[in-house]
Amino acid sequence: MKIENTKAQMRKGVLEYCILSVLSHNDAYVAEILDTLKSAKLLVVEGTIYPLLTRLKNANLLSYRWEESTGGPPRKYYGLTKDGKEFLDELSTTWNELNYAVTTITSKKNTNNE
Amino acid sequence: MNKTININLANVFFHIDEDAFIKLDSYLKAIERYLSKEQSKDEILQDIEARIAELFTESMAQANQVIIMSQVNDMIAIMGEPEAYRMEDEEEPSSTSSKFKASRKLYRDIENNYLGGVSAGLNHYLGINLLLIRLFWVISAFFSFGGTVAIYVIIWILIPAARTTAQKLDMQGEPVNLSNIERKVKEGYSKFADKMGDIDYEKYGQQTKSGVTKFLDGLGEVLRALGIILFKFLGIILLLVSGPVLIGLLIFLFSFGTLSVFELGDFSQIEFFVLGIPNWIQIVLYFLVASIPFFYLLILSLKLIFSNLKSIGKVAHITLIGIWVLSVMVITTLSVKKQLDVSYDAEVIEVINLDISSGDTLQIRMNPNLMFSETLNQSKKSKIVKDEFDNERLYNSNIHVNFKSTSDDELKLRLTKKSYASSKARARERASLIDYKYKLEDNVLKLDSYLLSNSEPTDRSAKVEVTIYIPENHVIYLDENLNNFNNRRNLNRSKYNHYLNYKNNDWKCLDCRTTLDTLSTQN
Repeated sequence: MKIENTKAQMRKGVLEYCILSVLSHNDAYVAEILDTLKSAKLLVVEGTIYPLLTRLKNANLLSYRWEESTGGPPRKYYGLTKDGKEFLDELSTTWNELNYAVTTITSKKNTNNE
Repeated sequence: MNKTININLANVFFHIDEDAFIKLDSYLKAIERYLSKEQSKDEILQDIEARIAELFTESMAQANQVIIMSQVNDMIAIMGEPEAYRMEDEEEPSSTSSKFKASRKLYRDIENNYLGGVSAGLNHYLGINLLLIRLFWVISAFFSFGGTVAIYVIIWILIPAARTTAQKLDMQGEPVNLSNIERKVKEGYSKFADKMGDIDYEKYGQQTKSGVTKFLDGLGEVLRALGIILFKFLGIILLLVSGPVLIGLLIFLFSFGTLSVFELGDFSQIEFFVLGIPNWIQIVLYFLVASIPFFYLLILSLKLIFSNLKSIGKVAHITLIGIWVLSVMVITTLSVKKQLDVSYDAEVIEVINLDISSGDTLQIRMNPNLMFSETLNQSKKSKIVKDEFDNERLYNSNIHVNFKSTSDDELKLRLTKKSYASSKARARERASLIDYKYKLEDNVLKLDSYLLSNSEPTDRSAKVEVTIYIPENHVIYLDENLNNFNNRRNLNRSKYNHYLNYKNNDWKCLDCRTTLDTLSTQN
């Protein structure tokens, strides 16, 4: 098992949750979402996000509208749908539980090791 | 200095260097391959293109600047290698090669090669055991006398080697077999059907493409899939035609030139060959005229079957077409010249009085020479034979025998020797060189069934007409072997081998039983 694969899988697993979180505050277009994700070092390259966004959109969790931009092609502004908000709430709950579980387990291990 | 290409990326116009364009193009195609299982592949690609356009716009210091290689590389560094676009729930790339939906393309596999990597490439392409393919080449090379070697070389030249990663991926893509082709058509159809059923203007209204465009796209996909099958099928048929013909022509070329594998006999017997130049040049000319079109047919068929065929190059095209035109011109000129060579005819006439006693029966028969021919037939076909002095002579049996009645007492023979040449004088000279003999022994007139001459073979054969003037009331016995040399208008076959009288150009049988007699005796 390669460490890189495991890392990538871990990141990808939380990526959907993070994208939805970014969009929960306000609508954004891809580059903005990417900036946030990159600054948090969740994403290294941008390519991964495009299929994901389209899937989320197809699952009716996201919707988008076109907006003109200065000097570039028109931009797709994504926003959460009603379904998306519910989905995000559920994910948040799950994430908190998971976070608690992981923290508990790993900290126990640490104490055991000490 | 660099050539630039104009591209439209998400409706934004860019100038881009050619090498940078090639890189960008293969990058986008690689992404497309990774996304091929995705339902909204087109939409994702549009988004990616839009982002690339944005990145390019940002990286340009001023408007109308040309996109160069480094910008494309920077963009790829930001966007990630094509592998990054793979979705997490897909299988690992190493597990199977069938995950790529793009069809395989034929490349020469230069990593597993003995010679040009053609066999290894075909192994990837067709999925047939590599050893079997190599055996096929070796064995077929023996059976076709090297013909398939030529085809191997043609493929070697025309099929590019897989050098880049993208080409290697293409080479190992989905095998081109029947079930895959069938699946492709079905996929194309279901996409088409989806788009037809899905024409929801509200939904598509947001998008740049209209429902009608989607419909046409879907229809296009079905037609393309069917078209590809049709083209491949056509290609295979053309290959099955042009390949064997080319091999046959090659065998023809080498067997006539050196090996003489097939006993096709003497050239001079085949009128079609006679052009008045050395045989091997004629054969090469005929070979070129016939094989170059079939060579192009072969290239066409390979192009239809394997879409990524290289061009053989402008120089090669010009040379081949030039050679072909030249060969056709040479053959035409020589044929015309040959035709002119026989445009004039001339006759040389001899009249001979033959001494026979008036009371005796005269027997007339043809006199064949078994040295020259087995059969006793009238024929215009010429061939070269060796006479008794071992000289080469031109032989034919174009002998015509006629009878005329005369009130004279003397038996006369009129020989008309006719020949053709490029001028009256030459034709006359040729006619006089015709060697024709007859013998009168013991009241038997033996006419040679052939003529010999010294001239070259020509399109129109020399001819000898023998007219025999027969005194009325003289008894004649005609041998049946005259039958093939006589114009039969006034001589019934039943009159041969009988004693006859010839009066007023009419034969009277002296010892025939009447038809009635024959019938009564049979009863």
